[in-house]
Amino acid sequence: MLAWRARSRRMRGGRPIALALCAGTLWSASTAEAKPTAPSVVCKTYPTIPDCAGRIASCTLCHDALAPASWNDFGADLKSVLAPGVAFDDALRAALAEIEGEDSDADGVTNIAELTAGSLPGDPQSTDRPRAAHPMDAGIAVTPRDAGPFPVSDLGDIDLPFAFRRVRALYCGESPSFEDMEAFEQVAISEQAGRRRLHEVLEGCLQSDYWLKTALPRLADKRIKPQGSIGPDTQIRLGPLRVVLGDYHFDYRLWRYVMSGDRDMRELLTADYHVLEAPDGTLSLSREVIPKVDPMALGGGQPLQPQYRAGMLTTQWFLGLNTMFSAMPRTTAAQAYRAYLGADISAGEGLRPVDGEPTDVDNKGVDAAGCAGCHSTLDPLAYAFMRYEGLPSTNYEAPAAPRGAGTGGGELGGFPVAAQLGGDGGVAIPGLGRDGGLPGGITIPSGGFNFFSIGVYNPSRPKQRIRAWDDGVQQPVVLGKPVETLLEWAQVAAASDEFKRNLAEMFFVHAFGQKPQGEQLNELNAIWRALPEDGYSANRLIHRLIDTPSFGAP
Amino acid sequence: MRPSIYLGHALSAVSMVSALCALGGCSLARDDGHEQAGAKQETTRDPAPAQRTPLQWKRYATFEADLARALAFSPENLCLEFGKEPCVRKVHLVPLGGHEPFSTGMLEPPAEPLATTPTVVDRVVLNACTSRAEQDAAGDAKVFKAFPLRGDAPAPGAPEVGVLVTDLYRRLLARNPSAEERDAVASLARDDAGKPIAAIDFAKLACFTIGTTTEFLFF
Repeated sequence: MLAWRARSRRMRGGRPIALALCAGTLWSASTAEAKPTAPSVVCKTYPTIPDCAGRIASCTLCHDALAPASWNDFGADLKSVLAPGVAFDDALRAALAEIEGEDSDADGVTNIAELTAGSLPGDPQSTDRPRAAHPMDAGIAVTPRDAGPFPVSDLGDIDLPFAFRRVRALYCGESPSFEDMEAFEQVAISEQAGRRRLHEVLEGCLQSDYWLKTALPRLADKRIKPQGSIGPDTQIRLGPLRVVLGDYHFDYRLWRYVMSGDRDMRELLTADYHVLEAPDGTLSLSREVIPKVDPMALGGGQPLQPQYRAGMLTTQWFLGLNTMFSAMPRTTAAQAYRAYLGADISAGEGLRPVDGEPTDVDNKGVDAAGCAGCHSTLDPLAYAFMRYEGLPSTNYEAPAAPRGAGTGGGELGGFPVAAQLGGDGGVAIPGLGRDGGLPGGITIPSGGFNFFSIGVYNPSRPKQRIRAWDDGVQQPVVLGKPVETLLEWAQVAAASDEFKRNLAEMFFVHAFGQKPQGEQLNELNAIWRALPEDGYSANRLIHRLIDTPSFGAP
Repeated sequence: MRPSIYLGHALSAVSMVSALCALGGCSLARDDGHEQAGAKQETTRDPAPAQRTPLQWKRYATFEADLARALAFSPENLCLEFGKEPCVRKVHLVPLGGHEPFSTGMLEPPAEPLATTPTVVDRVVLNACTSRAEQDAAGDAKVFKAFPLRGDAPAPGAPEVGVLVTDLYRRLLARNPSAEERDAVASLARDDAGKPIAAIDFAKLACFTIGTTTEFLFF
């Protein structure tokens, strides 16, 4: 049976927009190729399962691997009952229902029970087994401590001194002393007073140098991805120029500022300011363009105008590192999706295919069968980043802008640059290489100049970089919602359940050393769902975290 | 070498039970004197798995702060490899649960203790205990004040031994030892032949034994 796909176009503001009317599954005599709509089908079928709370199910629910595809036991069972000749989404829905009562991975728990509990029905190692009944389940909330390990309460019961140790170790960076414990235990004879004291201690810890300058910044590392060799302090030079892609200290300060002091975490994606730090540690905000300090560095400062800023997504470092020389900023979009919405497309997470995508506008072959599954989500995510420069490249298809004075633009050795070009001589850099170098060499005025404007906004960039670009066809989409600009992208993302869950899970893993399992998923969901009521404050979130049974019970 | 022998003795006598519970979040049930309707009072110590979350690994910053405070060192003076580089914050940062992204590209700390973690922990704790014992023996004792560190260790049942052990428990574990625990550590004052060991060696061993328990290294 042949699959078919139809498109229609409608005009909006003079620009055509492609819409797919329907999509089907290609069946051949020997293989079936599933579209990446499967995670959405799972979540529409089971909207309340933990895997679908604040995120979309991952492909690993059914697959061991995606390219080439292989299936785990659960996926194999689904595949075996998929009805031929039926549209994939409908067939999958029916197949899920058909095998609910089975136990695909033979771990003693049915598929539907595993889905409901948040464990993987295709992995026998992933099972949520209920806590065994304990003869002293009547339990003690708090008792005065005696000698001996875990002396207060029985396993599974809330233990305020235990929670006190945890709070101090995690958020203050130092366990309580003997005197601290004695003082706390006196207070904690009353559970209410003990809890109040616990929260007071936490509040103090969240203002400590340990939390603000050691623990909290380290949570940002895989989002910012600093590299000293191309960072603000590098001594590596290209001729006389220090190879600075950007100053990631701005990124860390923004992270620290937004994630502390009861501020709104959504500003990680929506902030139009940068955070400065005085020598005495005082933080202040700047909504100006920030010039770089060292004219002999490639990058530095924050050249992007405030009206185009979207928090951590548009710092010079983020754009320079992730977009680099590429025309289509796929890596940038993927990193933003992974870091702030918790979905790693390369791991088959967060796939929300957009009909009619990928269009493969830059002719990279991403519409091939093995690629389209991810790129139907990734490419529309990337479109919103197209007007933000990474590093300039020789891969410009449009003629370079005419040489101009001041900062208007010019051309050096084939590179369009935003530069202040002096005519007073200075340091000459000979040609730097055969491919992508500067064949004609450049002359740096003695006063220095902005050789690259990494991370600036360039409204002409899409057509400059990709000949076939069409704003009416390349429609940016994030989490299933069409948007027009990166700022809108950021607004949608910051308001999403995915954003809330991702940050809550980050703090959960920090507290417990592992992702939530079993009944902890309910605790996690309650925490992130309370964020709007808490003003999206990270501190408030942590206060809720320490009140969970998982935190206070060994 | 005597320290190694007594180290083994210490481990087998006290730390092994705790070590068997490592990462599993064991609790040693005990008779705490509380009456529970219909409940049998436990008097045996049966390790049991944690019911909710496993124990958390005490990572480099907290490990360093706790050890330094317990042994009256500043974190900067706690341990220097070859007298030059900080053991915890630099040389052994990763095995102790940290990471440094700027020069190594390591963006996350290790999820679990590494194969080298126990060796590094032993090294840092033993170094700290040894340094404190030797400095205290040289005069103006700050931690090992219960008895002079010259000559032989007192008898295990001597009150001053109990004072030293209790003080170490309070410094390292923020609690008093049980009678059983106190006696187990105190027994290190005698070798396998029943002869007294050097007082300074007993101080180091007692400190090392308590400082490498699961209770100190996890929370």
